[in-house]
Amino acid sequence: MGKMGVVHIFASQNNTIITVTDITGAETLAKASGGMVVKADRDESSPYAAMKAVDIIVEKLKEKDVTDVVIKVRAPGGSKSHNPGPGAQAAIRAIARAGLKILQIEDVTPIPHDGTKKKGGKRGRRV
Amino acid sequence: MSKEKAARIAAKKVKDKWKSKIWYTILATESFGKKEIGSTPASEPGEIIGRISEAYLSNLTGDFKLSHVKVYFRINKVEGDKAYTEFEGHEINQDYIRRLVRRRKTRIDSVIDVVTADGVKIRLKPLIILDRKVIKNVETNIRNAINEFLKEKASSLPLDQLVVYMLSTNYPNDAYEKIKNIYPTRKIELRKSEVLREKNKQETIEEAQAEAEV
Repeated sequence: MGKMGVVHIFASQNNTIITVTDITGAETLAKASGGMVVKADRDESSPYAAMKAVDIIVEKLKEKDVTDVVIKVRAPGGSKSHNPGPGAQAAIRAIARAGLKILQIEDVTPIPHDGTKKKGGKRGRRV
Repeated sequence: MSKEKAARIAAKKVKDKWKSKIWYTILATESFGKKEIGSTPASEPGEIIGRISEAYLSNLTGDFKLSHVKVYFRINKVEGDKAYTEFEGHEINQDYIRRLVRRRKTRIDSVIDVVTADGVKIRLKPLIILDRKVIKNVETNIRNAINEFLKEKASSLPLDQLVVYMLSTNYPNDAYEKIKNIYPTRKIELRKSEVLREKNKQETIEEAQAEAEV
């Protein structure tokens, strides 16, 4: 039987960061981000970049004999957006396509039980 | 030149580090049948003590209905390539609770510290949902009843048995008997539990003090 890993996907509007750890979260097995695979800053969060990042991850995981994964997706959370960015879905899809067995998908966005005020001021962000 | 050399040496070191690591198999506590949870890599067995791994209750018991419960285990002993654990706590999925709590219903939360028969302190967070909005008096009575019930139950069972009991259907069934005279409800859960190992904290403080003296 292959080993089990935990894929932490942090998908914001500006980037997608993927880290794979062991089940305890103490040891990192692989990591990659959207910024590692594209040139333009604005493409870091794109689904394409997420796919490419997963390719790097999968290669490293194959080396380390990890076949089963639990996926933990998170958005910035807190006083910021609670919805994962565009890279999250693409990353999960790419992991499934790569042949890794997905045991569970979980949303671990940090949600405040009441915290600080969202930035942007009383009248919101005026663009 | 020297910088390149340093980088090359660093790269070599990292590779060696990974190869020297051994994967240790993590086993659940005896009350969960010492089931394999997963594995964790480390270069020394001492490194993995204190690591916390999580497992879904559905995987431990084979009952797929319990996939919303997560159980945490802390590694406390290593023998060969096997890591033995102790119960650290459990948690119910936030989504599951969100589904229970609706408008025009009462959510009753409570937090209590109880001591088990074998002297382990554990913090329990029961959650009860009533189908109507009720007056505060009823809420308080229910909260007191469940607190008393849990305290009594905990003092009669050692930790291993208490864990099995509170994660089984026996707990809501027994709690229902206590509550039904105040206000009937079937939605009784244990939202979260955490073992309070104050002894360990005390030990670490003593160790720190001893180090400071030296």
